[in-house]
Amino acid sequence: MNKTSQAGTIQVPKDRMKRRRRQQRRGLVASYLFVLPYLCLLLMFGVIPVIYAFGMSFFDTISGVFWGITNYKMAFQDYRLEEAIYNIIGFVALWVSVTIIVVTGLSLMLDILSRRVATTIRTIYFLPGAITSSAIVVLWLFLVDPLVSPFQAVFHMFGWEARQHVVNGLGMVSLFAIMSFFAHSGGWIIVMGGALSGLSREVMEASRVDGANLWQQAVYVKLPMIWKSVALMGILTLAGGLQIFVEPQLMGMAGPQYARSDWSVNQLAFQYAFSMGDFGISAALSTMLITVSVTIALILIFATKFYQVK
Amino acid sequence: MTRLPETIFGCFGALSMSLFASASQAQTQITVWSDTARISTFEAYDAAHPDIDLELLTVDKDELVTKLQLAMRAKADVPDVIFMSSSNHPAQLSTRRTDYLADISDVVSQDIFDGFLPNANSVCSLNGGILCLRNDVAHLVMWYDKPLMDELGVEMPETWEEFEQLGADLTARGEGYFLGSGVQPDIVIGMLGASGCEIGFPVDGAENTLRIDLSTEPCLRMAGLIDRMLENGSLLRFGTSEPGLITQASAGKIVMSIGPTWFGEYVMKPNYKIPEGHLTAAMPLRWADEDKPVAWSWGGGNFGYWKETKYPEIASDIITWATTQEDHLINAVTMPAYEQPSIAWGERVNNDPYYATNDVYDTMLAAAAYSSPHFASLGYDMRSAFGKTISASLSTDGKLVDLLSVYEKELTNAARLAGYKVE
Repeated sequence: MNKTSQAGTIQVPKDRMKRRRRQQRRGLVASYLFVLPYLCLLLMFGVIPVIYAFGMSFFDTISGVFWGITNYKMAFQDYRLEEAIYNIIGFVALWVSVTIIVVTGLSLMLDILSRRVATTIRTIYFLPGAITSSAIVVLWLFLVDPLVSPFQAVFHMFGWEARQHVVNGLGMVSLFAIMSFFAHSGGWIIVMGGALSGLSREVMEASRVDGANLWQQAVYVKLPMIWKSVALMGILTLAGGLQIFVEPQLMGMAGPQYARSDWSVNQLAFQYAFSMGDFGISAALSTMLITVSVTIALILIFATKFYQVK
Repeated sequence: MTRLPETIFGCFGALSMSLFASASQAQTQITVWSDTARISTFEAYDAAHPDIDLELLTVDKDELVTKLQLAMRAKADVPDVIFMSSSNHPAQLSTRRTDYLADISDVVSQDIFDGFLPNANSVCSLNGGILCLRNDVAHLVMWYDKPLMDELGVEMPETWEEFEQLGADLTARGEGYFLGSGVQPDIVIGMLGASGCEIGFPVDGAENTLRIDLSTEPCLRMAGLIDRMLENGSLLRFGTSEPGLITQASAGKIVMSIGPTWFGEYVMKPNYKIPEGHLTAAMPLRWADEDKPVAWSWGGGNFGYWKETKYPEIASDIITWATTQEDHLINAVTMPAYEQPSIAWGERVNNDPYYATNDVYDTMLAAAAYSSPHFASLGYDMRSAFGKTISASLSTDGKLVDLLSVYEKELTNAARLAGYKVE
């Protein structure tokens, strides 16, 4: 009864409804057309390679024979895997937490400054990020050598006289976290600056009138409003961190004693494919790595209600 | 009239086809992957053989295996002939997973093999086959500053014991003189290998089987010597290319260094800035209770070819030519592995006014006779295992003796992973 009466009250002429529906459909088609080029690229260079690797991980790629989970078993039997996993867990934990705390803190502080000063400082922060991470590694190999580094005095304070002392003292995990932090945080500071400048002035004004000081404004007003940008930073940093490759791979440039070709899981996958020629085990490792990344990203997205629109 | 265009086309077609045919008959195309230093060798071969057209591609040392993997997997653009800059390439390119190299033991004549310097092809001999020809030998000799040693009034040691004693005497003076690096992986591995320490010796007759045992007397004896020399400062805790060592070497404090045949020309002359008339070479050292020295190696390149190449005769001719032809080897950048051109090349080194004496090559040639037969091509990297387990500690205050067991474990694991049986 209720339903029919409701339907009856709308009473829209049939042809107008049809026209509106057609318009809606046309809008939908247009939006699909807009995302189509990206979808094609995503399919070709993102989805299909993942499916291909997934399929390959169940084959002996040398003779092309299906052999079930043998590749996974062999990957797990690799004596270097456990250590590599610990390495990346340590690296990700350190890098992500430092990035979130320092970048958010710096961004909130920059937001207090006048716009021109803040923009200048942001640009300076961004500069190291404009260098590719491979070049950053080479740069760092010099920065951590007490004989040529501008931080000589700091290193000498700790009693570090040679590059090896610095590398030992910091540990590979912190060293790579520092390298990555300086390579990537500048970009995030700019993103955060954008998020903060988008906040409504009225809200800020109101909080000031209500007597909130700068600290309270930053922590209780601004931070909750840019929370999603912080979460995004966390998710992307984490996904990138799990795939760490360039930093340890290039350590060998400082001499064979620093070479760590098996430091991260990604490096192991690379080594299996390109130095041992076993694409199957490489695909198995890569599949496991992407599964972990996607799972963690999904958990974070749901936990932070990332896509929920208020 | 209407036929004219067709006739013209027909004529051109026939002409161009015959031209094409004669060109393809005349020249056989061979794809070659080389490093930059060996390009001139291949160009010389190309010039000397009008019927063969070499298509040269420069491939970076670290990318050779990677690129080859991809080419073989894609079954396209696989090179017929390659130059391998690393001693480990032959092993890496002859596994079940990457079966690239052809066995040349029955293709190249015995006379050729016999013409190489002793054990020059030890890196090419794998599992009973011979998979490549050695381009240059890089055994370790003793490089020393002759005028400096005369000034200090000391003699060139012949045994490890004398070497240690000299280090102790010099450091006792407190003038900063030292005898090279005690942590450079290649040198420490070389010293252990020369002492007879089984750091990965292939077992004769047993396929893919290695002997790895670092708990034996030859290992402990050498490790103890290195530890004592690091302790008193006669060997530095810096690698050969680290600023810490280079600064002191450039200040004229380096008395001698263990180094491969290319060390004088490419490290000590340009990096350590040893002035003209100072540097010269001496024989590798031995233990006092042994009658002859053993020389381990650091580097040396090799030529090999694809087992599925369409032109195996030409490919084997190229690698034989490249390693044996005197005309171009006389200008080679490093010491040729084939004896006859090596001697011709050595004339130049002997007469080089940069060296303090005119017998540098004679010494390197004499030392070649003691090249270790155990210096082999391996499917894993002994040096990165060293970097992973030893370097951090040894470069600060660690003792090599204490680190040998960790290194042995890492080497054993790496060897097993690469498909070796370890005895």
